[in-house]
Amino acid sequence: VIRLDEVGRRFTTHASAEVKRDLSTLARRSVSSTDYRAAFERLGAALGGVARAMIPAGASVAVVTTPEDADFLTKGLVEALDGRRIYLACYWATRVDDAASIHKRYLDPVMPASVDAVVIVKSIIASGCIVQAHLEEFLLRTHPRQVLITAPVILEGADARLRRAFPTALSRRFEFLSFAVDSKTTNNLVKPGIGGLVEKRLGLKPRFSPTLVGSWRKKRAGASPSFRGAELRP
Amino acid sequence: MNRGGLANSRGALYEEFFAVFRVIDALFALKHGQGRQLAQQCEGTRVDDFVEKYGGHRHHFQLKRKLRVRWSEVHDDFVTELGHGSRVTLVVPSRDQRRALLAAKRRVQGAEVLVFPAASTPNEACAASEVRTALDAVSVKTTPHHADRLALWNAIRLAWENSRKPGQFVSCRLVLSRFVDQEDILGPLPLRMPWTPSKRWHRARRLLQQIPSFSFRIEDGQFVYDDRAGTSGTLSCRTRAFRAFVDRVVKSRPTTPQALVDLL
Repeated sequence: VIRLDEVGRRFTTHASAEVKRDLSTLARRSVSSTDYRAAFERLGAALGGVARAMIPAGASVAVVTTPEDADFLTKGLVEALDGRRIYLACYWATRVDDAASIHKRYLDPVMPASVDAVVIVKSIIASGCIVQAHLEEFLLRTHPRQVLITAPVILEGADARLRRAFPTALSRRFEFLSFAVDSKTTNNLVKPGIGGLVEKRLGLKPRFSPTLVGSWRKKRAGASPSFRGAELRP
Repeated sequence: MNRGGLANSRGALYEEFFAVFRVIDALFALKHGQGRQLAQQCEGTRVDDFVEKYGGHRHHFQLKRKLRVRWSEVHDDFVTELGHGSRVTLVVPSRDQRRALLAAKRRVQGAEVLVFPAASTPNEACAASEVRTALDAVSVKTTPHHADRLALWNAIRLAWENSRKPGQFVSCRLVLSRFVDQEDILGPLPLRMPWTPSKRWHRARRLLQQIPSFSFRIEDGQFVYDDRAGTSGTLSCRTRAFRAFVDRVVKSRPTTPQALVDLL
């Protein structure tokens, strides 16, 4: 049993007893990938439940995810946000140290140029480099009123670092939503965090394609794109 | 002693970051057909902080990361190297210093002065206009984000660290090859570089051209694609991942955008 209070973890007011149990499941090394995936999906639903109370019904919401989070955490969150017009964006990034560059994207072809809210979904925010790349890629092209940055676990100070990386006019719209704030790291991994590298713990194969993106593509088949990503040299 | 230590480490970081900056410039030159040889703390020369060799020419850089710099500090060394027919540049952190040095009465004639900002982190370095301009010139993206620049900077820095030899010249092509090694491990990065298409690529290209609603082009060594259904991206043609993609296309002969996207 991991005694979370001894490893520098603080829970936020959003963390219910069920959420704490799921966070504890993530932190345990012995948990199977099936249970790990299920815990993430429940945590996504819990994050979505909190986000739902913050985003008005009928609002247009862009949910921005990484491929590894898409089928579990993001899926749970998307399902909890029913009653809102949801658009999906998924970014594949190359990470080099504490920086990330996006090289592939799925952008919902019917996403309007402007949405009411953006929800960034990430399993954990530590250096914040992936979230920063997502925000730069997405936010500098649209001006949502609400920017929710959600992750079950955040490393202490990561929110402040992310705010500093953007102009104040933009960063003042950031709202961070998490269940736990950890303060310890070992070998660049947050402790207890989410129990290690998420791709490994989820049991994902290299070059996997998220089912959520595949089903979204099917749902939107035939629609022509209305929103573009970063332009390349002509 | 502590103050000296701090100054030394700042000076070392300044040299380190300047070397990366020059490697970026050398990669840009390589893209345009000029291969350079690069050396940090070059042996057998008096102006040794960074030296570049290309087409029978030598360009020496001397770095001075301090508030007051005088020509007298570098006069003899500069005159010697200029006498050998080399190009010599004094590098300082601020525009004011450059202005003062260029206006000085005892200026070393023929020597140039370059501004390279002092930064304490890669984040700060990439925010400096000189570095931004250099990185944007080698980036495939027309409007790279700060995160793109930082990732490219980190990757080029790593490639330089893995290819340099203390005091010796190394080819910029070697740095590029180390860069590609990293791309194979980490994933594609938006570096512009020429690429020679293979026969297998020509076969794959013909198959790709027959897929409806799928557009692609090769641009500065990057495979740029868009399935017009929301998926788009780039894949560096230099990498193993691209060669594997080409193989998958030739083998499975996809006919729909969905089948193709699954191969990417």
